[in-house]
Amino acid sequence: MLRRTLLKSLAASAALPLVLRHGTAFAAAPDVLDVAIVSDPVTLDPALMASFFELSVQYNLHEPLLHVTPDLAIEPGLAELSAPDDTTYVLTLKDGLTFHDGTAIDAEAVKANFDRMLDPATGSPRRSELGPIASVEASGPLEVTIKLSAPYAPFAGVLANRAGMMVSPKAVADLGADFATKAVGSGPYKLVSWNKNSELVLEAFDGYWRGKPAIGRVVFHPISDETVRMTNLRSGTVQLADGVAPQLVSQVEQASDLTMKQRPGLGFNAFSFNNTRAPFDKAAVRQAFVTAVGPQVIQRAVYFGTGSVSNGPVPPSIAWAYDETLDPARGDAEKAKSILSEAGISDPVEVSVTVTNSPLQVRTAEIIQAQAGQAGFKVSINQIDPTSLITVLRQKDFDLCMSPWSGRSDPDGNMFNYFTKDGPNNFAGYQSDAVDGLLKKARTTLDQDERATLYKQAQETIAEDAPMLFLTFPSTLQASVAKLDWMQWPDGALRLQFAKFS
Amino acid sequence: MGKFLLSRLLSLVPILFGTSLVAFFLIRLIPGDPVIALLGLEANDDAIAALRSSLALDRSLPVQYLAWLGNVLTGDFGRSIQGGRQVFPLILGALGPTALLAVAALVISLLIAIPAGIVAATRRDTVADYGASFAALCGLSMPSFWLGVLLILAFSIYVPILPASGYVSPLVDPLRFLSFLVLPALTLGTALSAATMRMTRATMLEVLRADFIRTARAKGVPWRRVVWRHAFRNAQIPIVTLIGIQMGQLLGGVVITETVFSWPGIGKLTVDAIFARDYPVVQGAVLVTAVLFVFINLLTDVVYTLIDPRVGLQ
Repeated sequence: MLRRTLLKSLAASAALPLVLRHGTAFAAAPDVLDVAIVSDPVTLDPALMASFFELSVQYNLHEPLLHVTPDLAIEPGLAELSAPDDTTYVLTLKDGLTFHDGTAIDAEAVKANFDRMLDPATGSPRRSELGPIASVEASGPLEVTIKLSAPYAPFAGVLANRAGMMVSPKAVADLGADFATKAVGSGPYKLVSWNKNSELVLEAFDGYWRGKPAIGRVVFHPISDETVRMTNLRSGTVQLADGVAPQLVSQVEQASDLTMKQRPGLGFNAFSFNNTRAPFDKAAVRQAFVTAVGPQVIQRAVYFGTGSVSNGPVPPSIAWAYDETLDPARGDAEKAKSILSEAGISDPVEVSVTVTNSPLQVRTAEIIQAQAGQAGFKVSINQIDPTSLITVLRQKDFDLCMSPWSGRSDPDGNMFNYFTKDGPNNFAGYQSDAVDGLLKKARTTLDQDERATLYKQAQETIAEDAPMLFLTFPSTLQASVAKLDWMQWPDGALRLQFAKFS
Repeated sequence: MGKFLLSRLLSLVPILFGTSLVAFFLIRLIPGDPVIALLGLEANDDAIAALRSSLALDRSLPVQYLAWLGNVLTGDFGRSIQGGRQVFPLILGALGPTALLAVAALVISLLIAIPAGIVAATRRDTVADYGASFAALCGLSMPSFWLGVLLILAFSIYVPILPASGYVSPLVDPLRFLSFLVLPALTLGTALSAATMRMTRATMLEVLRADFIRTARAKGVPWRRVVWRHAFRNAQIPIVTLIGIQMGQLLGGVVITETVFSWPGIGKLTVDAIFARDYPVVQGAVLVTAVLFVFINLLTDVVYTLIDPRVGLQ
């Protein structure tokens, strides 16, 4: 009996490849797009999302109030924004729009979203992004008036990002804790199903304000290993892949049936010096270290020539605030030594550099170790797991520790939290009255030219004080099958309402 | 038999109590904080405090443990810190794919190992024996992430007949499920078969030297029958023991294979939860895995009695 069953199943498995070759077992139908993403989202709730890799899923489920173009211009989205004075904003919603569950997107719904994000009990990271909001009122059926207690220049940019994503208040109330896994938004796609670590299935939303998307169904597959993501793309199991590893870029570029896209990103790869304890409490020691380390080498050896070298926190993709005049000597061991000797330091300076245990970060640390070693530093490498990173940074339990940032489209998002005196990401413990004042002033200045001047001044002071070691501005690296027509954003979020199969 | 089962079931109580204590306190000994892990770089003091209190992580450890234990006893394993899913359905949802993969891998390993082990033992010191032993050595020493990627290259890219990775429930699409299953099951099955083959060969050699084999041969029983009916039946106990251990390990999850093939199993779920300090998921997964281990051991003991009537259950 057993033998017969075994024989039968053997026969069946022998026939399997034939069936697959002729069937459509894994070739996607033209109306379905399979996307490989780096990790499964933690939550589908935009008010609580915190991981950079969730952005793609978020932007397809949820539509922000305002839209940001790939060139970072801000356009109307669900609403239009006007500013009657420096501290008042009026959102005028488009008429007749609904969330995926049919609930109207009206002034009350938008107010409910703001109230939820601003409620301290929600614990939403959006609360601080939204700035100094004094009141949110539904001033008409489709009109919301937001009063600020002080001018806040990044406001429009914030509403085009995570904090502008509106969800159905009815679904929030009905679903309770399950909202995180069954979110109801107003984006181009609505949720069909989500199996943890397996697939997240979305379906085009008829009522999307730009019209129903061209691709009917999108399936996100979390594939954490970068090589496996690429084999899935090459085999056609997925047609679009996020997070192409830098060392695979040239391979993908050479494949005729694939399209490789890269675009300067918004974030930075940098390390924080611990400004609060020896030896990096002395500006001269930090400057010597920054001078010793050559980011060109790291960009070539670790990032395989992708992205660009960084000397400050604002990337060239934010052109109006980028300071191209910052060009300090880097990778210059002799100059670093002379900075140290001028400061009266002759003995080798012992420091540890803390990185997460990924090959890319360890390679970066080893290059830093070698380069700083030539300038009279004795560098040891301390590897930690990714979860401990934020704890180590917050407790300032390091000499030099990686602190990369995914970036925001407004320079405020790359600088305020890092360099103001009590900024939540000021892991360096940098206390500069000048920079603190400049950044606070830039936040409340609405004229872009004036803001650009302020940000450039702040960047120059930061370059002199060297609270952080800037290395590179990473590029967004994504690839697809050649027959997929899609657009790439600097923030890396895949907005698939703009994609179609050609 | 009934008494045996009852005593085994009763032994579950202290085992699970001990496991719950270890699972609860060990994960909290690892540095790192679930709330900061959740909020990442967006963490600020307000958001951290609000989340910590809503997750009841601000209470003392014994209070947290007792609250959790009380809930578990009523069947409530709590919710995942990362994403808020109910823990028990989350674990069951991951256990299904893992069990299917485990069974498929075991079947493949037995199909390879038993015949190869018997051939190696009966043709000792021949080319067949050396060949099988060499293959086993390769299987044992080849890391599964490497074999997995080789198989993907071979069968998804060069001869594209199977998908590179992924999973679909057999209830939804059985054929696609099988197409996803083949490569990870082969990867795991090959690695497992090496140990089973070595074990089969060794015990068969021992049994084949026994007196009753010589007697059977002397009586004129055909060699084939001697090998399968007389020798192999008597060689099965150590092999079944090994399979029981392997099954237990497989059900605990095979993280690397699951990662390479994007298989949504319990191993990846548990490891991700450990990295994210997602306490309720880690605790739940450890408990469920412990229960499974006990049941597989029990099953192994029952199988002994079926193979060898001399073995009794007391």
